[in-house]
Amino acid sequence: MERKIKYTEEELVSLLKNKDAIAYNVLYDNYSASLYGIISRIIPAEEIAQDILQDVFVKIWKAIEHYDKSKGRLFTWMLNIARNSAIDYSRSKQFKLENKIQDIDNSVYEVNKQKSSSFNTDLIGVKEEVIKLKDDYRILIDLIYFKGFTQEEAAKELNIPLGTVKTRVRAAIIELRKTLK
Amino acid sequence: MTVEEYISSGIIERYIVGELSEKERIDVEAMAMQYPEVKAEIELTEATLMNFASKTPPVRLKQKIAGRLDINTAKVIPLNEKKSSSLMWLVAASLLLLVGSSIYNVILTTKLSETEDQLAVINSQNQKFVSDFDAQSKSYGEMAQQMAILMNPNNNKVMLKGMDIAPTALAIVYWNKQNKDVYINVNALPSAADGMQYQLWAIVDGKPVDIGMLDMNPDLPPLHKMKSINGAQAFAVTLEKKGGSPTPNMNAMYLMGNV
Repeated sequence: MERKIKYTEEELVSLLKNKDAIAYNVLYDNYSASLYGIISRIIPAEEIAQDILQDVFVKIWKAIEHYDKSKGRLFTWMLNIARNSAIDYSRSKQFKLENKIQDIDNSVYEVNKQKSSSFNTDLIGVKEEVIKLKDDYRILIDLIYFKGFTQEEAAKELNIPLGTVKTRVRAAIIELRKTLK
Repeated sequence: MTVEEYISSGIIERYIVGELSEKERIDVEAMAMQYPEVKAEIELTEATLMNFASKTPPVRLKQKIAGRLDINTAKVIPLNEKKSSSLMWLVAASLLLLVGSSIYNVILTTKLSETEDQLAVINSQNQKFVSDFDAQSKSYGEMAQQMAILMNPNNNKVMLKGMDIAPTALAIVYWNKQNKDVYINVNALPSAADGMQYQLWAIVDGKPVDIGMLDMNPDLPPLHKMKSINGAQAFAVTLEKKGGSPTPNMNAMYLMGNV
């Protein structure tokens, strides 16, 4: 993930709205890895994930002029487009027919020791340190970040108190921060 | 709730993943505006999540995706860029000019006010010089007149010396026998009591003749012109009531001198 130039949110948005080659370079260089990471986490099959990534960029490119920063962060907006595209695909008949890939639920949050190999750096490019994230934390982050669960839904899903979810998400973020340079 | 508690409440993570209600989101943004630490936390959390599980797609994908996008073409880009950048430069230059001119304006106004102050000082100095000059001229004219009196060979110098009541008193009378003019220069006389004034007498044929009151104003030139007299043998000064007396008070004779 290369982020050569650091733009503020406002600079980035106005830059992207120009829709020129510079805008595309900035958009792709800043977000492709994060978005591809999200998509791959939901749809591990590389070719499909790449097709979805393409579609996601097309959607972003078309919709960028309507992006309203009062509706949330630019990344949040892109994250939702990527996540929804991947989740939509995972629910499609085509996906179920192909059945080549693990069930979305498994890939997203039923993480356990046996399956941890499917989340290693070879498959999805996750850094070594991220792999070391405690399972408790990772399951939660997967649910909330990749599957788009609210914290409340995650609490219900995992049958743990909401307060615990909040504490763990926070702890996970702090843990993950250590992986930032 | 403190800012610290707010940050660790988990709301920022929920904000980044987009699970907040509109009301909550507006609240977070307001907090971020108000507290730099909240803003920093948002950016850090976002960077953390972006970094988490990020996976670099194959390099060829960048070009492939670009092919599917309606990217403003290369020909248009430089033109647009040029336009927008030249406009930007124009705006920037105008702003700079505005700021510069405002600053210059302030400087000029300050300088103007300083200059006005200086001018006022110079004007008042000038006025003082003019009035000083006038005074000096006048004084010079008076001195020249007085000099002329002193240098006139027709003027007889008569020393009036202090009598017993004022031994140190002294005055000089200049009397022109031809045109009868009388001038007196008082060198030393005790100051007159209130309501009293010195009077100059000419003794003509043994009789005192009033030839004027002495004006002791120190601002006046030293030589005072008195009434003209003819055939004086002596001059004397007595202290009289203010305005003078028809006959001298012989007990208050201060000065006396023979021609």
